[in-house]
Amino acid sequence: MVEYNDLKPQRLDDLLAEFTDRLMSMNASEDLPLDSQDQELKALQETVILLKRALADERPSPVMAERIRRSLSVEWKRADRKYQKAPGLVDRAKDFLGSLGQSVQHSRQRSFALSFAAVAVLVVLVVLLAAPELVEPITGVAWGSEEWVPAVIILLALFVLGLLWLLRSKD
Amino acid sequence: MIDRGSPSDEDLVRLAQVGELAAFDTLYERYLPIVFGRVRCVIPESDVEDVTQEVFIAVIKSLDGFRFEAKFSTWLRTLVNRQVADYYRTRKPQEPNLSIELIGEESERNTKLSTDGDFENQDNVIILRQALKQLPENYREVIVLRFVEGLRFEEIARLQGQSLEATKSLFRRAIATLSKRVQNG
Repeated sequence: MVEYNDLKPQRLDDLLAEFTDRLMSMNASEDLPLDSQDQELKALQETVILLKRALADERPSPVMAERIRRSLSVEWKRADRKYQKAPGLVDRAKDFLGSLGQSVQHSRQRSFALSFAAVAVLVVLVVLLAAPELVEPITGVAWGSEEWVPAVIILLALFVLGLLWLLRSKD
Repeated sequence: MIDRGSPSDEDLVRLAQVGELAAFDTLYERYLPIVFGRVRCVIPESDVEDVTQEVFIAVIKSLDGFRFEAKFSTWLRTLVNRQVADYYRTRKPQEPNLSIELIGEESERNTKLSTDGDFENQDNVIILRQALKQLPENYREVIVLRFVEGLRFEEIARLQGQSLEATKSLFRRAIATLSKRVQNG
């Protein structure tokens, strides 16, 4: 017990700090008895005890903690895109090869379709121009050969354009 | 006050930075009492929950900016102070004197939490809380660091770049000022 009055300020600092350390090392519900005859130190110790009661081990109620947690979960999901795991080198290489493969595959499909369309047009044109007898008007049909050719060309052109449009819409 | 068992704050931050919600949740559990306590020392009771929540939202938004140059607790303290400053910048400050409404609010809360029925102490605690809000910032900070964050005087001295003697002296002057205000309360 400190029994002398008029403590020097530094001594008072040390005694109060020591008292506070002892009090804070105790459980929340425990208090230390005031251990000074010095009125100034005693008043300071009383305030320290009050502060411990008011502030130490203070927690929000479980209801409030849960309410905040729910709001934070929503906020986390909103911000989650920013925190997606950065892909490693191997993952990035795989992605690159995958997209390259898809691109090659897609361009092969497109080339094949275009080639097929071009060959089809050429074959029909060659057939029409080289062997017009093959497209002689069929009995009962009003059109002559000279009327057949542009109609077939237009149909083929429409077919090719349609094919190209379908391929473009898949991109 | 913080359980320093594994994983460390920094390990949790690294996991949270790559999207582990569970890691962030652990940080939230670990620091909620400190953030709440710190906010409660400076913000009117009616807005403590909102500001506490805003602090953790700021953590979510700024987490990828944390570069491990300081301790997480130090960084978090800066965020709390920034949110408190934002609060007072954007909202009309409350009447600094203890209002009847605030006394009622805190009395109700403290009565619910208390089991010993020591109403005189309850009143003193309420008055003390209000007096704490009105202390100069350096006085309030040393009290918050010791009682809310549970730092030892050596840690407070290191944190504030002061000698241990200067820190203890600051603490004693802070307590003396608070004591007078409570007695006059």
